[in-house]
Amino acid sequence: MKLLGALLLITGAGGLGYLAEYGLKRRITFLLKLKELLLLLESEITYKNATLGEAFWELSERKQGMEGSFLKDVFEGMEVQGRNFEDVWCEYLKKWGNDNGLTEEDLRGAFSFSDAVGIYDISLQERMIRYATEQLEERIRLLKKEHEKKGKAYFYLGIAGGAMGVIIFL
Amino acid sequence: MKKTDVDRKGISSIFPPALREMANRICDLPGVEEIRIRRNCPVIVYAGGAEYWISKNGRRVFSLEEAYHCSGEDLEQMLSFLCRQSVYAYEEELRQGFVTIPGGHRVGIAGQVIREKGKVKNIRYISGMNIRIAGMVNGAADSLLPYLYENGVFCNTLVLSPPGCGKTTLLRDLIRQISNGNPFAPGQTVGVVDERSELSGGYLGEAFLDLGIRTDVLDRCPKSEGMMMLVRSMNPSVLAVDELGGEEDVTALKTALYCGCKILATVHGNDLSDIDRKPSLRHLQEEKAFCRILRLYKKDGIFSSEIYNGEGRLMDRKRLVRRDEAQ
Repeated sequence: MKLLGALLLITGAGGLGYLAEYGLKRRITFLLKLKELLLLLESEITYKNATLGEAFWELSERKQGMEGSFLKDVFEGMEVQGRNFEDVWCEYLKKWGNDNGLTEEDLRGAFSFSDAVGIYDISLQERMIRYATEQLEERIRLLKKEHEKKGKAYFYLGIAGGAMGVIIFL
Repeated sequence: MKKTDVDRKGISSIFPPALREMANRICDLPGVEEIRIRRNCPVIVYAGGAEYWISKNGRRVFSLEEAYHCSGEDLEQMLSFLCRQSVYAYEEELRQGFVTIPGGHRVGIAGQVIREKGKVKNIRYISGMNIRIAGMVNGAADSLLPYLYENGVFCNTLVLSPPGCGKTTLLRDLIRQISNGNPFAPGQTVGVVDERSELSGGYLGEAFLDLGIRTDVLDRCPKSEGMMMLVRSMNPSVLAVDELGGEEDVTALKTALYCGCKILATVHGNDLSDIDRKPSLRHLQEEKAFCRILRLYKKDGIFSSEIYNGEGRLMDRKRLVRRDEAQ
């Protein structure tokens, strides 16, 4: 029984460490998806001269799962509820981000582009989206560095913590 | 004659959230035709030939103090919603001074013009908007149809009208009846160049207004190019164009005529002499391109039409039903 308990403690603690490492990886994955969405948005605007509502509608039809739902929510917020884009974008981005473990710092770049998008000419739309994607890329780069340095450390720390716990209790 | 309901959502969606209830109530007024919004002036609605002042909650009022006065901020927000929060996508429309919104309603914009190289680039400091409400009056063309067919064949028709006489409403019903069939001929394929989305009221590929079951619409396409595209690819029996413009439009129209299409077109003007004053149209008339000319006019509050043949001889006069008079 003691052996079993020790094993469970080590596995549990190791699991926590793994989750911390997985959380980092997950944030990177979703930031990459967000960057892709922004690039697709840029194409819709610059190539098809789509309005924001049309662009989000088109993208929501092409994307499945959580991304598709997020895009549809933004579209409906703007076109069906008639709300201001900046409010809708920030609200649903925060919700989507929270559901996927993203922090406010992770999303800062994506929040910022909604200030001026839709107001000026097409070249400024392009520049605003590019600026947001650059900020996302920088954030992704930092998270990847953190993952490289700390990812495995979290996992092994978890196991070590579990082992420490076993020793203490024994 | 049946009137279809005004699309309230399309109109109210361009107002700031706090004024949408006012907009919805305005749309419920019988025969509403225009909503005039001016900075620091009362909101004025034209419906059924009369003028109304409107309060913030959309009620008709009789004193200037009770009427809602739109602020500059209201107008700036309206511009943003009018352009669906994507001003960049409406540069061409803003250059022309009006935007068409879902439902086919045309919103004219007044303000300070920004110019670049001598041409209008954009408008800022919006001082006013005029929302012209699109109406579908099924049966508006009933009294005129008998004159537009000879031996079951549609005659090339030009509709001549000043602004505000129901030219576009009439054109919609003519297209619909030609497409669906009518007592004078079976349904025919109609091609429509809808340069400003006014005829079909298109939004995300869906048409809000019924143009008939055999109608193909090229939305937001310049008229001259659109006519050629339709003739080449959609094989229309009748080609319909609103507000014929300059030489390019007329050249394309002639090509369509030589391809065997029948033409239904509209042009701005008060009387037949206005056709002579436009060189491109005068040449068309000299070639007897149009076998029928419908001249729309308003006299003593009554909208009517004169029907002329290709030689300019008056065939008949008919009273047209106003939007608020339709059921």
